[in-house]
Amino acid sequence: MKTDPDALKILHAGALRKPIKECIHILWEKYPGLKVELDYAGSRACARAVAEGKVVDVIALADYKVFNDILIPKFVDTSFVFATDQMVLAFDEFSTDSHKINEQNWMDVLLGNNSIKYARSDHRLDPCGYRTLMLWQLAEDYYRRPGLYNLLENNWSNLYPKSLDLAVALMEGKIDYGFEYLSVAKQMNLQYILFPPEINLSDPRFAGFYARAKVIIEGNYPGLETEITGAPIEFAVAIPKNSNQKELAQEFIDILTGPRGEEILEQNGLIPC
Amino acid sequence: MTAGKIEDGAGISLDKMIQPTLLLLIYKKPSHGYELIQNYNALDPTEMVEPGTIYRNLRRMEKEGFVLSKWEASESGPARRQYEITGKGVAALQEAVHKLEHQKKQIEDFLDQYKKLAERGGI
Repeated sequence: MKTDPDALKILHAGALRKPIKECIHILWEKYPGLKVELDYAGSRACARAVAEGKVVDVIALADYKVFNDILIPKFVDTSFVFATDQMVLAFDEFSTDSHKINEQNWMDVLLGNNSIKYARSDHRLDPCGYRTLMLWQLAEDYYRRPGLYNLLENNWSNLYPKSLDLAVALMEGKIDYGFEYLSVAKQMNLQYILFPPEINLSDPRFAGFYARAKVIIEGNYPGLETEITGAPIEFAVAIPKNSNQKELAQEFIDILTGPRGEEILEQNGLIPC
Repeated sequence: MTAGKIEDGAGISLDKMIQPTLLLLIYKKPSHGYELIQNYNALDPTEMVEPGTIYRNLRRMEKEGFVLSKWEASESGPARRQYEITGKGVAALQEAVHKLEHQKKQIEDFLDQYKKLAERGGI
């Protein structure tokens, strides 16, 4: 796609689509007519694009560790944590067995009916994907169900590039259940099951327990693997070093992390922090 | 300023002791929300307050002027919003202590009356 050199370019995690758009409307109050180019993908895919030369002014990702792993210090100096979230199991009223699934039996329902399609996002592209794998590992320990992780990992039906795609697939009836962020489930008016804080990756008090979960993913260079350790979910934003619009980018970040941005994040199911 | 009262009338909430506890922790050491959630638990392991509640109370207290936040970068991690207590926050903490002492006295009086009644075989 041909880009406008004067446009403010924002690259963001799919889960942030709606709040980012709403913050741009606030920026437009000050700069009517300002051109803004929005692009989104799974957070690791976003970071790789910047590392491979894509020029953007703001990059907002679902995990600050993606900045540390791929972009800092060569492409970004510092990232700023601005919101938290939690993992949920999303579904809708047409999902098979939605009338009987609950917080205690979710794994038995997903694994007990061959016609149920459940999905996760791709851990190589999207933090929601590796967070799902971590959730499954923690669930195995928490519920004392040896082998649960392998059962869940061996039986999913679909893999999507980013968490937003899971929600869309649910709405289109392509899948019955998706391991998703609470914010995305709320934004898309989906039903969801909450997991206990010990496994939902939301609570710093359980950081030690979360750290037991580990996921290996493709690293920065071919053949180099990266191990990601479980941690509370923290969304972060930064201005890449090669931004052409640093002042405008900072104004956008000030909105996102300021009182009006916090209100928007909260309305979209995220917890500003 | 009257002892334990905030000048413009804005008062500290004692609901579940969240705001006084956060102010006390921040008074001891300026901290970010993540750290405060961890330390809150250490202070009272029986009280499970959700992270969202802690973050919302921090923002509420910033609006009230009890705390101020600024971005603080760590060496290896990201920058997080760090909170420090203001003069108004110290006054709010004193107001909380004053109210809590009053509540403590009320509870002690109540328990005292109950025990006396129980000793007399009235309950």
